[in-house]
Amino acid sequence: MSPEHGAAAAREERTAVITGLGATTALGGDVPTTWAALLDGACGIGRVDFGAPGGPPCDYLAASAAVDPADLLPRAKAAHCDRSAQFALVAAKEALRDAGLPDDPGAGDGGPRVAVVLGAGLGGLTSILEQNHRLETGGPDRVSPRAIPVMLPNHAAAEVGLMVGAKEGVHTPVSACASGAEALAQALGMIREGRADVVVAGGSEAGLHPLIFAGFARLRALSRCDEPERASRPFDADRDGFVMGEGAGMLVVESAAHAAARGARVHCELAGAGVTNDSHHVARPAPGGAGCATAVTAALRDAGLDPEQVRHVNAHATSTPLGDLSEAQALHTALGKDLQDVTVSATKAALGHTLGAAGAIEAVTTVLALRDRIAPPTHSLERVDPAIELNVVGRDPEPLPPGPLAAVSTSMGFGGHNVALAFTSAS
Amino acid sequence: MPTTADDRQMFDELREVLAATVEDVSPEEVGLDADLRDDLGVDSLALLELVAAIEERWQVKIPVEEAARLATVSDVVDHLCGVVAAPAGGTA
Repeated sequence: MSPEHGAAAAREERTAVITGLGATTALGGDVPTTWAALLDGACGIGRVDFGAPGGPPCDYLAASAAVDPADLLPRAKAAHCDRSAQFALVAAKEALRDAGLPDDPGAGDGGPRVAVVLGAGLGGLTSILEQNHRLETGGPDRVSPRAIPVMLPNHAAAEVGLMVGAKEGVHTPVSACASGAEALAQALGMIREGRADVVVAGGSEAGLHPLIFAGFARLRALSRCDEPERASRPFDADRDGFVMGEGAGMLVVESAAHAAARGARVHCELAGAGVTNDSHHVARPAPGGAGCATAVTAALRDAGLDPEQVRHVNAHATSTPLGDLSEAQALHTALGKDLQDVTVSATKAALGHTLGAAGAIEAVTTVLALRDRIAPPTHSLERVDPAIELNVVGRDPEPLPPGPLAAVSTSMGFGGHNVALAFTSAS
Repeated sequence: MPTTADDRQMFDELREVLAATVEDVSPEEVGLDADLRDDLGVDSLALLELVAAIEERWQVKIPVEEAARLATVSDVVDHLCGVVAAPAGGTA
């Protein structure tokens, strides 16, 4: 083997590619349905009523899942899982199928070395509340023997790990709304370190519970608009808060060498990741989005990309006044002053804010944008906030140019977490 | 097979509870003489869940030492028929 050959092989060994995509969202129970609806400008937001008959009104706008994950799983498995784990299992199965792998690629001996990294924001919170209700109304004997495993933050990751045979490790990054993206950053690290051939990575969340709505509402983080189609308006001049969603996004992150050896189809390369913390405030972003800017810069450096190579950004853009502004400032800082040739998509307009799943679902849509050369629309956008100064995709999707292409997906979470992921088109 | 209509009904309902509680078990494969652990894969955690589901469905209390003696589906049916009050007019 020539030295150049050896270097190329070594690079391929450390390169991580995306070979499988899975998602379950407000727009569809799988990736093709979600993507088609998103490109079509559909909105997944509707009204959810939690009010008990005769009780106080308790309804909110939310992007609830289009397909109940429990309907797609064996009955007893669904009964043993928090809804967040149900979402994760459904999306993981789709991602593995898309990658041309069985549900359990790591089971048995001699197969690929498999790991799972699955981020969670709230974890099994609705199960905790349900078990607490049983405790308070029926006493300790009515609490499920499954209460503890189901309420742990690693519950969904453990269930996916059991399914896939993740003997190389099961990890659960918990960084609020950056968890799903941080999972992909960790998956990239595992591939580069040679710790696994295949990492099933992403995030899931099932937090549509009146307590969570009330908590975010009391923080004044939720939109007060009562029109479902217009409530989530990322980057719009009239945005006033986010709309909560639920679901999961899962990706098969694979070493390029392993993917090539089995002749797998490659969607794109996961080229780099940047993970930083504001160290500023528990909920407010750092002035000028400094921590987010540093994460984007770090992801590009990690990927060996120049800022001007980035032509598409899937922004975190939750539709809060301050969050969107500071993210825009961060993008200007990290990518350069004039960003008019960078198409920015804000998919929370249609999918809501899925908290710990958001970074993973948006990683899926970023990969699809690179693959299909099209940036998804922001259906609710009427007028870009003049202070934003970004080329935000409006009601119609925008084509992306041919040739080598790089895209960035950003995620931020309470606690000052910032994660940026850099993807490059398949060569 | 169960000898009375009550036994039969109890068995049918138990099959549904088993299928809803124990992974990879369908009602059709639950025979009366099936061994909970060896035939249906009811491990220690699943047994605790099964007991919890039975207690909730029939509003009975199955003490831990009683639960430990339940080896087959038939044992569970017999136990339930012994502790659950017969529905009004339901005796065969």
